[in-house]
Amino acid sequence: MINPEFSLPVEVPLRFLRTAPWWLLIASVLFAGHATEVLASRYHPATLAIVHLMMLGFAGNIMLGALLQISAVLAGARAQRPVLAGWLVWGALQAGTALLAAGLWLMQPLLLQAAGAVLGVMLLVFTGWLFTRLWRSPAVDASTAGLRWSVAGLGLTVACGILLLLVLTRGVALPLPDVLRLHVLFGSMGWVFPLLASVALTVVPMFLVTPPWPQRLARLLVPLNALMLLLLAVWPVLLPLLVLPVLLFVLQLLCSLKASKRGADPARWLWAWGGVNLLLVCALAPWLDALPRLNPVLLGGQFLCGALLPIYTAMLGKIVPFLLWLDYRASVPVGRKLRHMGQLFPERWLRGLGGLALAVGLTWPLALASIWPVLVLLLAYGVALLVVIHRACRNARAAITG
Amino acid sequence: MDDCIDLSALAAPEPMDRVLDWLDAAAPGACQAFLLPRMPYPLFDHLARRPCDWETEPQPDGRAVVTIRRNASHDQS
Repeated sequence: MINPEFSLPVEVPLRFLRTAPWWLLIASVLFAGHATEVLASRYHPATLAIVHLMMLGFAGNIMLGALLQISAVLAGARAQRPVLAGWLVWGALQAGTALLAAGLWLMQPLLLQAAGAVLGVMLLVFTGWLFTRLWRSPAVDASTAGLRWSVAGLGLTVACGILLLLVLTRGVALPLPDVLRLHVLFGSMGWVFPLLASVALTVVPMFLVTPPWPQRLARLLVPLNALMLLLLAVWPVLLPLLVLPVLLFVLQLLCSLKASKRGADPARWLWAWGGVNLLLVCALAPWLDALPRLNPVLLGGQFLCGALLPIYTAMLGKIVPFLLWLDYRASVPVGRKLRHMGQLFPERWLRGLGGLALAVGLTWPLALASIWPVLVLLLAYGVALLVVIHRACRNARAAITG
Repeated sequence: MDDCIDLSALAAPEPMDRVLDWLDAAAPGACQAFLLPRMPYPLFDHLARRPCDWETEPQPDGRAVVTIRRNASHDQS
């Protein structure tokens, strides 16, 4: 009989997911005040600060929350004292994000070194621990295998980030452009993409009732991507090949979504829209230097606004109510009043959030003409996300206590 | 034991809900097999809190058959 404790206390992943919209709002407000500088250069201090507020504060909280939950559920990987460990990781991530953004904004070495120490220690210890747990896990599914690569990618991203901080603040003699290229490469394709792919292997069939992914593709996709990354780290000229694993992923994702038995579920078109944008950005990114008309800030923004935002929305719209529902069912084993998780997080909320995410992705390419439409939509999205997660948690609390 | 109930075409968390609803209503000694869309790890915590024994059998296509026997008391063997 299998009888492990798989579930994580619901507050551990939820704390990360509830914090994420705050960082999006802070980044959007700062962006509104410095849009001209940000759009003009990817190396401007304001651009670097806002990118890290988005990718560490917003995306990082969502991805670490999802990673903790899915690692516990799929692979039984959880800390001995999950609540304490969750607080430590959460606290260090928020402090490190704030220090890093402030340090980049002001180009202040002390703040940058403090950020490097906090984020470096926390994320390297965390990735080392989780990688070991996932490696030792008896789980043999493709998602767990993909999570291992993704965690390794996070560790490499952090290591390159620390090297960058050492170059900037201590004058360590390393080739800055090469380390920066590896930081971006490992962050986007070594950490974010494998995590999204691994999560998709589980949550798309689970919530959208699609056929399981083909076994061979599911097993080979993330290792193939990792192999490609290693080749690229050595031979940057191969960068255009990086689109291949993404192409395989998106084609299979679209096939799966087409076969979904939940045709009206908004998560279906959110995954599709995010996947197509991911493919578009990965296809264009290698040609940034060759095509002067291709704006790197616009392309990076499309990665976040067009690809990540809809996929995160689809993930959150299922993972948050599912977590709350599991907690509710455990807290009210008999005589429950709620019949389905839609009573905690109605589908119309996801449709509304999805509509905002779609509008953000569509208006971002017009940012050079006018930044205000996309900024207003980003702020509206951040507020809406904050409100729906809060209301879902409140609904769950009310259902449990009363 | 009755025939295996196929819940593999349902979206989460409905398969888990159906299994728990059956278990909560089952008479002591009742046994039932369920075909689920995947190995239902979150279900196991819920089963562990109830008076039952269970066995799981992974299927080659990624689905899993979970067979549950309702016990007479809250003492789980």
